[in-house]
Amino acid sequence: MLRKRLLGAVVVRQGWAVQSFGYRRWLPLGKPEFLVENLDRWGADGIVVLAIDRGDQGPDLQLIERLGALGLSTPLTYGGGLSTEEHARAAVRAGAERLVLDSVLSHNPQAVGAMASAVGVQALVAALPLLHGADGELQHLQHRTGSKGALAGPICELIAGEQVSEILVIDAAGEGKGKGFDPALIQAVERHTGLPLLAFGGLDRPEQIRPLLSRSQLAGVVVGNALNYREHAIGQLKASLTDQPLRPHRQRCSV
Amino acid sequence: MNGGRLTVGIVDYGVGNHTSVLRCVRQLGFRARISPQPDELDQADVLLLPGVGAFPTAMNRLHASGLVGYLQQAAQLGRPLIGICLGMQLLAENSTELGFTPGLGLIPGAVEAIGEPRWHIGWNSLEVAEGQTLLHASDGEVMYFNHSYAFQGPEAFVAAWSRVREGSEPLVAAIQRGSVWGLQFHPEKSQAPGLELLDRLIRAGGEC
Repeated sequence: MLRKRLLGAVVVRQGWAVQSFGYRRWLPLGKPEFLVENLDRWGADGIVVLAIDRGDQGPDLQLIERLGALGLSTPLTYGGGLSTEEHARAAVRAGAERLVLDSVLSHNPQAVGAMASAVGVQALVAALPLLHGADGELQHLQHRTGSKGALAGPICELIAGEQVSEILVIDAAGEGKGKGFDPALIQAVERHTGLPLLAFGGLDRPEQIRPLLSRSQLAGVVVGNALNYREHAIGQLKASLTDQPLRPHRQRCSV
Repeated sequence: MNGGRLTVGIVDYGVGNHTSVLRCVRQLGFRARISPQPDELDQADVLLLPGVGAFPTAMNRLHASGLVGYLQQAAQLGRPLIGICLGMQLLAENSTELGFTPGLGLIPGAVEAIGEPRWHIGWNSLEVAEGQTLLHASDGEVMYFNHSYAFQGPEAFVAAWSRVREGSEPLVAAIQRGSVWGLQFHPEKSQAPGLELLDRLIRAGGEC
């Protein structure tokens, strides 16, 4: 039976791993390689590296190559600056297993099909930073422009056409606060699609993660800041979530 | 074998990233080299065929690299060959991914879309087929999968299965015909259980 996943996230800005507070303030944490290596060693079910300031620069291929050179035995997912088929090919060639697509979904949705043909739909994850507006309506936050609004038609079509294989639902308001993930965001996305979902933002403690994992459409949770301050935090979290269908924790060891 | 250590030849046909496989094989203590050159691959005790992406693209690249005949001949000669993920699918007779494409034809069977759900992504346990002594120690172990097409073929060549849900139809997770093996999951990304399994297969290949 397919297990649910507990993934570790590393947010990268200007080449440095940072702790993000709502994508508005950033606390430098060090070289991304160190954090990624720890997550690999501690037995994360996957590592998600998000380079949040790439804009039109394309993917940070040097970063992906440096991470690939670590000899990780954990699947690596990369997001940041991916907007063309060639970007997708290059990121996979550099060492990413899966790719997180964000602004391309709004700015150039036609490119997503070509990316899927190049690297496979199973490699593509759509990132949707969401929050509730003043009247409680669902809003999509465009990091690049800072604008908020309803999910654009082309994005809904991409999702309905299953041109991506998973959706990374980001609690844009709760990100970096450790106060838990707003489950209403997941419920709202579930009404649009049957695609597997990943939840990211504000997740820190087992009691915040458990109700999300119990949702059948949720394939996994992505935890960021909380993993950076405790050694073996993955194992500790999993030890508190043995009632959930997660992969049993097995720390990396040499053969 | 060179100096007592097995050498693994990672077949480079320009698709995907082979560095993680190279690092993994070296971590296991084997010699390893990535090459598209038959004369260099001839020096290897075990051939490893990785792959990510789409089946037709990969087969086109294998043809363009002149490696189709080389791999078919290697299998005929009984050389150990391990295909990983898309590399496993390429061992089949054909695939319907993005249209019909003939494969290497080293193991009877075809590659078809998974159906419902459309993808098999994440960590799943192996159900090892009876009599598969080499994989037996990995029965029940959890490996990392990421695919939307799967091998379908005679049970005689299926070495292990996986199920998306309890009680659901099994998906082929590993195949074998003689010294040719295919692993649908990524052993190099499956942490200790994957490394242990790959280690056993390479060592067994070295004894062929």
